[in-house]
Amino acid sequence: MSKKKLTYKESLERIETIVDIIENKQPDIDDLSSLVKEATQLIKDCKSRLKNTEEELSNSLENLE
Amino acid sequence: MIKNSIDVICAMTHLSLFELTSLIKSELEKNLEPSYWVIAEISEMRLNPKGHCYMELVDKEGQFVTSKIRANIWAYTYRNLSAWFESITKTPLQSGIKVLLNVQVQYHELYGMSLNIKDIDPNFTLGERARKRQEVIQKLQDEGIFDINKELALPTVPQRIAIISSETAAGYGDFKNQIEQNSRGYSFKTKLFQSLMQGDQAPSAMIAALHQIHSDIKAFDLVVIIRGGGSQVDLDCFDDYELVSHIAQFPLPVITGIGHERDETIADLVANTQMKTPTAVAEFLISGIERFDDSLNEMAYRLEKSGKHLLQGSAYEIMNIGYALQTSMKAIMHQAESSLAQKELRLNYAIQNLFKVENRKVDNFEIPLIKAKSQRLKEAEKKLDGLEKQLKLLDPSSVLKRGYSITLINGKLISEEQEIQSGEVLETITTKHRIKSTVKSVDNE
Repeated sequence: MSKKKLTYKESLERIETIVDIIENKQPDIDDLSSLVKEATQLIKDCKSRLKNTEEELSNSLENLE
Repeated sequence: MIKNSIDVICAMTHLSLFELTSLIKSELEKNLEPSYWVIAEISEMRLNPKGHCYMELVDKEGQFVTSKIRANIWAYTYRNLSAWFESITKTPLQSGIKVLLNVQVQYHELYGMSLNIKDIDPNFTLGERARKRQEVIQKLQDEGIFDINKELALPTVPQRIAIISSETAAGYGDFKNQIEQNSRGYSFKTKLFQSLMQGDQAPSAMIAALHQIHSDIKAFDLVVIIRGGGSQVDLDCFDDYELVSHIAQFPLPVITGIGHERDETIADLVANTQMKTPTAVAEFLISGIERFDDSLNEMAYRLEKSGKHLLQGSAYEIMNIGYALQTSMKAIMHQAESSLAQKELRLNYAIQNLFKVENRKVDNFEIPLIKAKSQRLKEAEKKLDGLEKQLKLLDPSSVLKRGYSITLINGKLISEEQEIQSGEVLETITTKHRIKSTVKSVDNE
């Protein structure tokens, strides 16, 4: 994926938005699966970044370019 | 003569240096009080191996030294005074601070003028420092920079940390241990920016470290300034205007863990967050990540719960739709059945009705038919009667009865064309007789 990596803050905000949609906005069952998948992936990404900064390091090296 | 006169002059007009210095000494002792309370700044200070303390005291007007004198504290007194002073002010006696001293003026023939320090009032130094601190704080506030670092938002996840400390400081080790052995296994990226953490050179060293961090600022989330806790050593460097001004204006949040028990330093006051010890800073950072991690967990929990709920809701919905479908199907079927039955009834009724109507119609036709039939019969009978009468009239016997007779030839009625010959036998039939006769002549008309 060529998508820009979200920061922790952006990730959490996106996750919160999705949870809010699922809790309060009665999404289509057809959308539910992709929403849950997206949020779960974001949570997983964040968690792995919390425990492993190697990716973080390479990211900040990229940022220097 | 000359020699004598010199002797006389010598005897009369001059003193030996020792006599003079002795004179000075006795005059001083005669005229000065045993001791004075004096305010002075310690400009230099050193301890000799025996534990005696030697200082140089100055008085200044601005940057200009207006007065200067040596002073000393004898070892025994120094041990008591310095401990006392430090326990009150949380600062050791050192150069650069202003003190209120109880001094005895000493004059020694060999070593000259000096002050022997007998007592120190630490409260003066406290007040003096408070005044100086207040000046620095006021200056920062006037410049509008006092709150700048405090207003920075702490990072969502404080994971990349620039440390200003001394590698050998106990507090640095504590911090590293705490951070690296956090129970949830979060990984931190730390980088140490070495600096002196006490003494006159400390402020400029810390400022240099801040500059270094600034040059690679994107690599860090925040800055921590830590040093060993426990020992109450020199903290005045953390009140230095230049240093605290840099801390206040630093673009990343600064967290202090300077490790002291006295009132906070100005560095603490301007920092984004102040912690008592390096360990507390580590815990604070870990708790920041934990909070984020907990948010993730909560989101995951809510996601699962509400997702399931939604799915269950849809399942119910589908089931309900199924039920509704079933119910409405039944209703439609029932309706269809009953309407069918009704139609059947109506059909039956209609058929019966039709029969009745048709029967009645048939009945209605039948009566005139019967009537017509009997009429015809009567007419026919009458005709027959007429015919019978006619027939009766035509019956030859009845003609005979009226006196007519029938003549036959050869058994047949005589036709008009028939030629009758004489001699032929005629048979004449009357009512009562059958007469046979022979033709004598025939006249044709």
